[in-house]
Amino acid sequence: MDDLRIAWRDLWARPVPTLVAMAVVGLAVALFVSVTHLGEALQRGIVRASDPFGVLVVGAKGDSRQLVLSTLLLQGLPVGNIPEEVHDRLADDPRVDLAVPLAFGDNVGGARIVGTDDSFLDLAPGPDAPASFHVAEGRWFTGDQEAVLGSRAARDTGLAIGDTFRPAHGVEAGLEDDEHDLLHTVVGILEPSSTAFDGAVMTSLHSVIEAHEEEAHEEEAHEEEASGEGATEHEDHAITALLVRPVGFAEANSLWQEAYAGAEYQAAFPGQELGGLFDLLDQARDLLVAVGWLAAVMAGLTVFLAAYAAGATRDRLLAIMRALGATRGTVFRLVLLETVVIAVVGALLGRVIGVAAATVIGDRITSDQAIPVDVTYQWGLEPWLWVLSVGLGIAAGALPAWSAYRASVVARLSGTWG
Amino acid sequence: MDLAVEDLRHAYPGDGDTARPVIDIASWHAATGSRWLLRGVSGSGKTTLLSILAGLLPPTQGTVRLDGASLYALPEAARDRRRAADVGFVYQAHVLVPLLDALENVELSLRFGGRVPASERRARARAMLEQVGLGDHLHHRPGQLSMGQRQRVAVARALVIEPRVVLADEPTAALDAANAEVVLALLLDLSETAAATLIVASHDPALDAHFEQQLLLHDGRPIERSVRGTDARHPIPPTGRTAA
Repeated sequence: MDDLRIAWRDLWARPVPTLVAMAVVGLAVALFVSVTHLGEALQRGIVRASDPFGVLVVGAKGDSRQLVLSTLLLQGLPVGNIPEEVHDRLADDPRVDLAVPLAFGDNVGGARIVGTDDSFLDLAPGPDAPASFHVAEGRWFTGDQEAVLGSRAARDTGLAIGDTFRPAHGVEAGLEDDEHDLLHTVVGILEPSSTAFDGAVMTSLHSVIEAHEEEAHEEEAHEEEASGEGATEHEDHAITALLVRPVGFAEANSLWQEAYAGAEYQAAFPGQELGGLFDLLDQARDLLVAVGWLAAVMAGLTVFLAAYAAGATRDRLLAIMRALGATRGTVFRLVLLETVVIAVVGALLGRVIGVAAATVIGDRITSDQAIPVDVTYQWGLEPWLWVLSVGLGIAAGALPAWSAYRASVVARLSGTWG
Repeated sequence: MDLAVEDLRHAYPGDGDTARPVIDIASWHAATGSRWLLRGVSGSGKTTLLSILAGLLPPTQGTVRLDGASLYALPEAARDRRRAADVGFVYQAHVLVPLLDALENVELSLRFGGRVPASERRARARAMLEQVGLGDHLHHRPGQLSMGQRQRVAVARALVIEPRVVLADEPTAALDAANAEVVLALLLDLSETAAATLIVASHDPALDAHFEQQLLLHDGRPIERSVRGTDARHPIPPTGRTAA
């Protein structure tokens, strides 16, 4: 009979308080573990989702973080449009290595339709890095009203090569009711890229522009009819954003400053904007970790109560052990061992619950937000979790152990030995 | 083991300076291998005396010597180790650990003496239980055993360490006559086999016939000492402070 076995048996002589104490410790640890894992996986996912693109995102003036989120992560509404002429100008700029135009505004079955051109396939994490996007089936579009599906968009919409669809208005399903008249045909499906574009449908820039200009023409015609005025001159074609890969860091700064000084468009560094986002995430995580500490204190009190109110069964066990020759130190250690066992088992349970919760939430984010949140166990947390659980067990057990240490054997056994 | 007390007095805390001690023995000696019956009504001090002899209860005054060495001159932890190694104690109400089965209860006794390696403890406990006739009940918990069987487990637990002193407090009090005979026979036989000094406290007159030496306690004082087969009873004067 070793101490651990005796402690384990004694704990299960009181299953309800033992289980409750383990569960409370488990929930406190689960909170720490899930927040830490989810925060880390979310940051990694955001970095991974934005990694394959260029250094600068160019778009309409406005909230620069929203520009980056709506362009790279396809989150929320776009900030606005910029003239297509900005793309032409930047594509010819010697400071620019690659300029990929993007036009948003429609969806098919909730998958965003992205108007772009062949340069999309040249997107890569860096100038010498392999391309980020590859066609898995079929081919890249070569004409208007041809579409290439991201891997997840193909799964979610159920579309296959050869299928046709009519784009719906709005970047998300349900924003607007009506559909465009132009029939699109699926010609290819991309390999998974771990980016938000896995959930998008790529088509030619002109397909998106044409759909929206057709709509604009109809609205103008209605307005002209109503006002009795003649036809007006159309404005330049509009696109939503540009992914720009400058040739170097100095050129990136130069382009950013030029955009900042001008009134036409803005340029944003994704790293900078996502860094700000991470700061917000860190603040939220800090708040949840603070709640976790509060939960840990409550867990400690629960373990303390479970140990302190162990009652006659343990008193008798300890008294018998002392009568058989166990020292006061031995019974002190046994009580501490019991609280440490509660805390350690609870913490092991907490790891499982925490990682499971983080995985479920991460999968949900991956599914709903198109950010690949891949929760992997952080072994670096292990030393910290062991210190936390053993420390909590020792702190919670110190007073009951001291009480057992000081107890009189004769008095404890007096009920049966008198 | 040779066991002696000198000028032994004990009063429980809270009784006050004027309170009468629950133990007041000028001297008493139990030679190695001897068998003593402590007699007296409830409250006469039998249990307190056994507790002091076991090293569990430091007396208010006086000395307890085991083989000539003062027990209470040792630090408490050393007394605990000595108890674990040398003293087998059978309690009044078969104090067994309800969480553990019979085998584990007996094995527990071997944990603290430090003389038996962990690998041998289980086999020793099993053999001891077989000796007291409980080979078929090794994995029964106390709640699954009869009163007589529980007390046999308690005897096995006390004797498995091969003690040099066996102390038993009312070992037959909760048993019927047949079981009392069995338990007493085990105590006598096994302590004789181990050449242990045996001291049994009881107010059961049925035990008288089995002990050559008896000490009658009244209010903590020895009032009569008898040694069967050598001479008649020796009344001790009421002062109690003269040689017992």
